[in-house]
Amino acid sequence: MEQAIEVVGLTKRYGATVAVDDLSFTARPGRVTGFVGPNGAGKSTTMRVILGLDAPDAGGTLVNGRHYGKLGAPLREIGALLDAGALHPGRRAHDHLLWLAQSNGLPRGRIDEVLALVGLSDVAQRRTGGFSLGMAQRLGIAAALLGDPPVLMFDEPVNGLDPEGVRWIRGFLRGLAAEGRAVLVSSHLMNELQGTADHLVVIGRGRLIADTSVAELLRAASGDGVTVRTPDPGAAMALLAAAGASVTTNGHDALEIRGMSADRVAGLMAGRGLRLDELTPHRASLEEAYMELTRDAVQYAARAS
Amino acid sequence: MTALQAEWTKLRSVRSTTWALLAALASTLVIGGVSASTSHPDVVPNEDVVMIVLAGVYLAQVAAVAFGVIAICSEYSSGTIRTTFAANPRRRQVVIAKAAIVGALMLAISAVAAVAAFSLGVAVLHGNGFTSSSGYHGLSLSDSDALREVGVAAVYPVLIALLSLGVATIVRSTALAISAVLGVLFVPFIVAPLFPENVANTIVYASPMAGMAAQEQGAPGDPLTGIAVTVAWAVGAMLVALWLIARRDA
Repeated sequence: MEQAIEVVGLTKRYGATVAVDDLSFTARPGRVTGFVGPNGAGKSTTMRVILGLDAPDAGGTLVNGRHYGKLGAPLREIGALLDAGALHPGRRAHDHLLWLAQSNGLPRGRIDEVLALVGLSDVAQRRTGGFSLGMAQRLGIAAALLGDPPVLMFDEPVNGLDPEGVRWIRGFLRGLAAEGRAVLVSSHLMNELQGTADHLVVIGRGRLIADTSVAELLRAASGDGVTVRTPDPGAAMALLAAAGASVTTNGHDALEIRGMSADRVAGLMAGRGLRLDELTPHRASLEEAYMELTRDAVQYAARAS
Repeated sequence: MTALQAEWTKLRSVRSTTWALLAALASTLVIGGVSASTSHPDVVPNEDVVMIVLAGVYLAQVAAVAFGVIAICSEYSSGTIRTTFAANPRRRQVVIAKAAIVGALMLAISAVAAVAAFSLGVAVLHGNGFTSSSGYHGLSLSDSDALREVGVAAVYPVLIALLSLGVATIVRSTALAISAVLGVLFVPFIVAPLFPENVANTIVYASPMAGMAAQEQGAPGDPLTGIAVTVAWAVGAMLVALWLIARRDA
């Protein structure tokens, strides 16, 4: 099956800096692909190359199986929001969408449709200089949807939004994927994508670290553990460590126990007469799995620099 | 065609471009009117009377510079240039469409300005005693010199706006582009008088302002060569811009 976005062996340098290094991944229809990595990992650079804005030094990218420059009406193929602030402050929201629609020969009627879709109908005739970040973000999403494209790409869409805006965007991205569109969304924070992304492409320093489903990533993480609070952490630590658990202290009276189930921890401590003030089993969060995954890349980075 | 529509919408939907065009119109009319009303046959005998009423074009070209620069640098400063090139990856087509719209709008405004400044100025000059019976010619568009000078006053700002658009596309910064174009326009006129006359003439008639300077009756430069020099500057800047735009990262 044809991929919506294909990145193949992409390398991009800016002077002596390698921004993207032999990166390959795909984004498929019907799912939200999270594109994750620390700031400066090469996410935005990759997206600029996908849109034909920056030229690759090696490898390349395809949208719906074709080179971006060969797309007749690109807005009908892929909608993208790279920088919500990229608006002329003196231009009205409706006019911003009008020139975009005209550039791809899209019907004018579509402008009011997408404005309604993102909830900006009332401010269509306002100049964008007076827009809040959230409104600018919505206008950018309206612009991306203008050509009703099967592929959508958003760079850090929830950055700087209030909780209401974050929730709205998450629901929106899920909705777009449910309609069968391919959605590629970047973030430098893994927990922003928890509950939104189906698939994850993790990069660090321009290189691919993981290309995996969210479920697989969580399964592979060794992060399941138990938090214990007790008046005598020293004794509990010695007891549980002797029984084979890996125990760390958080500095106060709480212990983090890994490699041992909650009921076994409780049983051991009761057998020794140690009081339990708290016993909380917890699952590894996506963020923890991500930290574990990127630790090597960060160490490599530290050594390299 | 779609690129032309898009560029037209972009230019008409912001206020800065309108202000630049109105400034060009106003400077041509106001300076022309003032220049005509302060001219008397005993003060300026045997002068080219057409250039008296078209004097405002020298100021209007500054507005033309601003117009040409704003047309693209507003996209670089706001970041919409990436939206533009993502929507249409045929970048040369985008820049050519921009040049066509910039040129057409500038021509419409400067043609109106030139004809209006001429009609207004000639009426004022008549009242001040510049009449054909007292030996002044060129007080009507039926005069071939007057027609040429008014025609150039309409076309010259278009060439300056295109030169500015080209330079702005090359340097991608409003401040840098405006300083560069104003520098290349006015510095030759400022330094030329420091040189012997033949060198001074060479400097002036090689500058982009040659097109306007060579129109004056009795000027040392040939009118057609003068306007050709300005065309060369505009075309040269646009060609470099088109060459760069397809090669650079946006």
